[in-house]
Amino acid sequence: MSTGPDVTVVVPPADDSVRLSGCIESVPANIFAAWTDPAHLVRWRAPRGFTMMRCDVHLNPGGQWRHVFLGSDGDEYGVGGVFLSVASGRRLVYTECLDGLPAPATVALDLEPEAERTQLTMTLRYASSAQRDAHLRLGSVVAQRMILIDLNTYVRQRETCAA
Amino acid sequence: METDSLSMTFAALADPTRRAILMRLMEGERPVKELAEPFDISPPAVTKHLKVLEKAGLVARGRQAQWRPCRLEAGPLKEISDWVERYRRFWEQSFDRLEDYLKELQSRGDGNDKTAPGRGKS
Repeated sequence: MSTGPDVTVVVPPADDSVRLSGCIESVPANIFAAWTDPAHLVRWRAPRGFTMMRCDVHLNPGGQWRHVFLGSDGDEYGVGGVFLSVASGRRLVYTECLDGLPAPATVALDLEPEAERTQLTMTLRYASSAQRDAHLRLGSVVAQRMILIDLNTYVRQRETCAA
Repeated sequence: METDSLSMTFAALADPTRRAILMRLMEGERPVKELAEPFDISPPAVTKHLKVLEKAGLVARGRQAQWRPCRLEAGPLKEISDWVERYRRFWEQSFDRLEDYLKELQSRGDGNDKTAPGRGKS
């Protein structure tokens, strides 16, 4: 069981952005591939309690991407957008819109090698602070649902054991 | 467009003078006059900022007629940090899965090692 990378989230109050950063024990090329290749994405991208049921990626500027996840409670949610710039192994810029949100965010993924590791920084920019806040809230909602799904699984396991 | 409390808190925090006022209030209660001192703006302008902060629930005013000291209210700030913390945990788990997956690939020594996993061949 690994302790996992520490993630820092910065929400500048005077700005319409969110910045996420963390250090991952791998080289930039591998992280870039894992972030963009459907064969890899299906293996790690789905949040806990979800499976990835669709993953379309056209990795070139102007190309579209779409991920669809299915929760163990039967609920589906999708996210997708368009690639704006692709610098293999270093930087990726794309739009991202969660189903149900009115406008996309522009996401810049930056990969900086650091010894054997990679500093990963994701900057999400929104058209307005209201949209930024809606996104933060939705991210939280997904996180809350994951916790509920875990709880359901746990309860069901206990019921099976008791029976 | 809805103006919920989270958006109001962010909007109130978006102004540098208002953030500076909150910083001063972290040291304790202050009357408006004292709050205005370090800024190059008039007391009425400070009052305007205070109204925004009050509306967002970040500042409360005392009851005494003349003095009415301002104090910091931590509730809305706590709400923001709770939202952000949940969001952060969500991404931490995501990065964690990514790292575990990449380690798994490495230990399997896919292909001739060192190559980026997958892209194209395999």
